[in-house]
Order: sequence, then C-alpha cells, then structure tokens
Amino acid sequence: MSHRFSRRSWLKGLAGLSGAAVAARAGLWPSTAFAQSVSEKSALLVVFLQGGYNSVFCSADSYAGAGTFGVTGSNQKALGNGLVVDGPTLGTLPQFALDHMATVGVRHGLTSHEAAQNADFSDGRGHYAIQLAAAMGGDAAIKCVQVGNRGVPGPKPTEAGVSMQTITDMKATVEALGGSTDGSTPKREIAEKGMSASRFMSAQTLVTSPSQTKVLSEGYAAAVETLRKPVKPFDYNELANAYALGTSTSVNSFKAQIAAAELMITAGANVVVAMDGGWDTHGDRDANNVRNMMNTRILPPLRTFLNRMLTDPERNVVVAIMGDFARSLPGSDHAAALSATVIGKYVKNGTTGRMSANVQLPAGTPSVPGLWAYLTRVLNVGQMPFGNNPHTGLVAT
Amino acid sequence: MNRALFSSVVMLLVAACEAEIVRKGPDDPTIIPVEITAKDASRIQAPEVALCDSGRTYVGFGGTELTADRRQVDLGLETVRLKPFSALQTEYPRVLGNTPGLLAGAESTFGTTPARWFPAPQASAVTMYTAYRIAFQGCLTLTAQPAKYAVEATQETAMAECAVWAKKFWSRPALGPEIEACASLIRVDAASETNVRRRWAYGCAAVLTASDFMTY
Repeated sequence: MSHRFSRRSWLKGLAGLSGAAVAARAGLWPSTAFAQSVSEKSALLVVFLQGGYNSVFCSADSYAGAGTFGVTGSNQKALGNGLVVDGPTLGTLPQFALDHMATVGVRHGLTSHEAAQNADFSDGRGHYAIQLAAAMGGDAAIKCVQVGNRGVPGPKPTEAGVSMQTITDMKATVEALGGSTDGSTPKREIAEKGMSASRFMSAQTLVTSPSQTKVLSEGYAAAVETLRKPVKPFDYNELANAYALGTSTSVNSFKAQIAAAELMITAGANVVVAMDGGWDTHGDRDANNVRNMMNTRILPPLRTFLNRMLTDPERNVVVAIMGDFARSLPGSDHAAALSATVIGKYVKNGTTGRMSANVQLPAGTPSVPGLWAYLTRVLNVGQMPFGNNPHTGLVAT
Repeated sequence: MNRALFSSVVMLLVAACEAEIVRKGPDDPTIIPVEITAKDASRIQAPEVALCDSGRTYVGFGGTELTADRRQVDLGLETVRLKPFSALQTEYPRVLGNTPGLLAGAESTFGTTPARWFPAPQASAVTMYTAYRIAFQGCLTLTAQPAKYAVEATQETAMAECAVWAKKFWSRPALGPEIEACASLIRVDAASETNVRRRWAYGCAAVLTASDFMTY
C-alpha cells in the first residue's frame, strides 16, 4: 500500500499516542480506580437472542388464560414472588439458578430490529456493555468481550481505555494469554516490546484514519496490555470436554461462545456478550420453534456455564438473557417491549417484566438504561453509570 | 509516468465527484506533488465537502432508511482498510518469501468469512498478537540462513536492515524514528534473547505487524 506520509503527520500521530499514554499514566484512563467494593470478582454474560426473546420464557403465566404461545396449566413453573417461567425450558435450569432468577421489564417502545437492537446496547453515544466493563475496573487486559463473529449492535467507542475485543478462536486466545511455549513462539516480554514498536510505527495510519483503524488501534493497545500481564495457565482440554467442543477451537457455535465466555471471565473479563441469531420467529404461534431452539442450542451450554460459574464463592457471575423485544400475539411478530431474564447470586426471585396477555408492559416500566442499572447493582459495582437501579425489589439483600 | 497518472486521477475526481484538490506540502520526498497549472485550477470547483453521489436509498422493513447511519466524510480521508485474512494468506508469503506454518490454521482467529459475504475485517488483542506470531515465525525462516543475520546487529546494520524490511513490507520508505524503533527492538529490547538470529526476527516481525502491512 502507499500512504501519503510526511514527517509532520508522523509527529502528529506520535503526539496523539504519547498523549494517550500520558493520560493513562496520569489516571485519566483509570484502570484500577473503579475497583469493586467487594472481594469477589464480578462478571456479566449477556446472551442476546437476535430477532427477539419471547416473553413466554420469563412471563409464562401471562399467556395461560388464553393458552397462547402454547402455555397450558402444566407447563409453567412458579419460582416465587410473582415470577413464573416456562417449565420445559428455563424451568429445567439448575436449582441455584432458579432460586436467583428475575424477570426485568424493558418498555423501550421499539418494534424495528435495528432500532431495538441498537437501543438495547447504546444510547447512540456510548455502549452500555463497554461502559459497564469500564466501571467495573479490575486489572484484566481484556475487560469487554464479544465472543464469536456475530457483531454486538451499537456504536462502540472506547470508554476509559476499555474497548470491546472480539474472540473468535480459543486456542489463539489461550496462546495470547500465555499458554504456548513452542520454539516459534516469541518470548512474551520481547513480543510486548515488538507489539509496542509495531504500534509506534503505525502512528501515522492510526491518526489519519481513526475511524477505519479504530479496531486496529484498540487491538495494538489490548495486545500490549495482554502481554504485560502475568501468564494465566488454562486447561483448554478440560474446558473443551466440559462443553463437548471436540477438537475445534473456533468460536463458531453457541456452545463454543459460552465456553469462550467462561475462558474470558476466568481470564478476568468483566462483560462478555454472546450473540445468537435466528430468533425472528414470525408465525411461531405456539412458541414450539423458540422452545426447541432454547432447549437444543441455548440451554445445554448455559447449564454447564451456570453449574461451573455461579456457585464459585469467589465470583459473582450474572447472566442476562435478552433480545430485540418480545414476540407479539397472535403471530409472534414484534412487540414494543422486552422482558429480560437475569440470573445471579444477588438476584432475588421476582418480576418487573410481567407482560399483559397481549404482550405489553405496564406504563411506568423503565426502559433500557433501567435494565443496565439493575445489572450494575446485582454485579455490586461501586459506580452507577446508568443511574439508580429502578428494579429495587429484585435485589437479594 | 507518475505525473501522467496523477493528472488522470485529478481529472477523474473532477469529473465524478467535483473533488477538492489540495496541494500537499513539499516537505516529504515520498509525496509526489500534484502540479496544477493556473488554467487547470480555474476549471476546478471546490465544494465545501467533496462527495460522490451515493446512489439510491432504500427503506428497510422496519421503516428505517438503510443507509441512515452511514457517515459522510471528506473525500480522500479514511481510505485505509484492514486486509482481510484472504489477502493476508498471500501477503505474508509475498513479502517473506516463505509461508509461516501458523498461517494455515489462523482463519478463525481473524474471523471466518461467511459464503457470499464480505464483512469488514476486525482486529483485536488476539488477532494482533497472532499476527505478530505469524510474522515472527516467517521472520525466523527469513533470518535462518543468510550469514548477515548470524552476526550481532550494530546500530548501523540494524537500521539498514529495518529500512529494507520497511520498504519491502510497506511499499514505502520508513522514516527515521520508525527505523530507530525497529533497530532498538533488535539491539536493546531483544537483548535477553541468546540466539542472534532470533533477535533479528523480533525486529522483522514488528515491521511486518505494523499498520502499513496490515492495511491497504
């Protein structure tokens, strides 16, 4: 390639990078200032079902009266405090998860996929997942993660030095974290200097094309930071066996996404987002299609994840299951609100997302920032980047 | 030849996009100045923002115009793009003269491309470190045989070799500070490496992982 390159623009680029480094050293990019107030390490896994999250899963009793979405008298499971979930799907999760599950209402009023997906993750300026990961602090090099190739919606500006990093191969990730020592692998301490040199030599491009090279710039910075951290030993074979991954290390299935989520949370990540497609289920009037996808694709690896991560006394792992919006009646089209499922140690059984029989939430139900404020609260994060938690009745004391 | 090519480009821009033509400063020898005569200049109209006609617009099923979130930027800026893995598969062998073994199994790290789609390539900490590892492996092969890499680098030999690599990998000459960064890596940062050839490889890999190779 041939960039137009001048000494002046190179110096401009260098000044930009130097400024960033100075800002970091001065504490303007606080990597540890927002440390959690409790000793256990918190982490959030967001499972986003692209297309929609049918509220039959988390508000099953809403549809019992008319028998819509295939709800009968025998396939609901009451978990207490007004929370009733779909028995054959969410109702089969481990007891610890059932005891710490809530339904959170999100009355966003959006019925188009693009608008709803973007609104679920962003106010148009910042990205909620990145903002939360930044507020959670900690010393991990990679704090906010997208597992798999399916992109997380919304603009993703860097927040307090935290960017969203994509993980698409677990073997390469384990090696980046320090799990490889074969002869062709560079020594980590020299590789870190090498990556720093590469970044230095890239100053001109990164500054003159900041939008197009945003992920490249963030990649250099996160790679250098990753190589600076102590080596983290991982038993990839044990992880692969637990999630029945076989020999593939590629993050190309939902179970691989959840295994990668565990890998990254174990490595210190604060927020991990796993996107899954195929949930725009028009015509699924009896909800058999979504129940089938939930039971065959989503819940098996999620059950493994919950069993391995939620009962760890040194961790506070929260799982949120959500989608664009709920599915409307009668044809399983687009509702104008969402009911999300949240599972976590400090989650109290209950619901603020009980839908009406025609898939509507009560007036006054908070919108998307309220959900993220609630997640912030049950993660025990000291900062409140999304304001006060409006779902106060769903927090275990 | 170059002047003729630039003249053609200028005329195309004028015809298609009514582009703003800016004469670059002559302070860098790598910039080939666009020389416009007074007569040419009088024919060029420079709008406030030079844009091409973006064509028809479409409204999606959700009632949102599909290109609504597309940002308009000044013509000529932000032209850099990350090379997709399909390009890197041939780019590494082209500049190195060998094919790093790690390259074959690296596609999923860089992001698998679905059939009939071309998603914009993404970079992350893992992809950039993997890129450095691939580069290092290729550079180990590159530096394995020539006698010059068996000799410990001096400042002069390191800077000379870094300049050669930059020209080869980036298709442009490196500036002094860039060459110094590469040479410093070989002579100072890699000093703990006992194998002299591997020290050279660290510098080679750093040049090969810089944006001028990773982008087009």
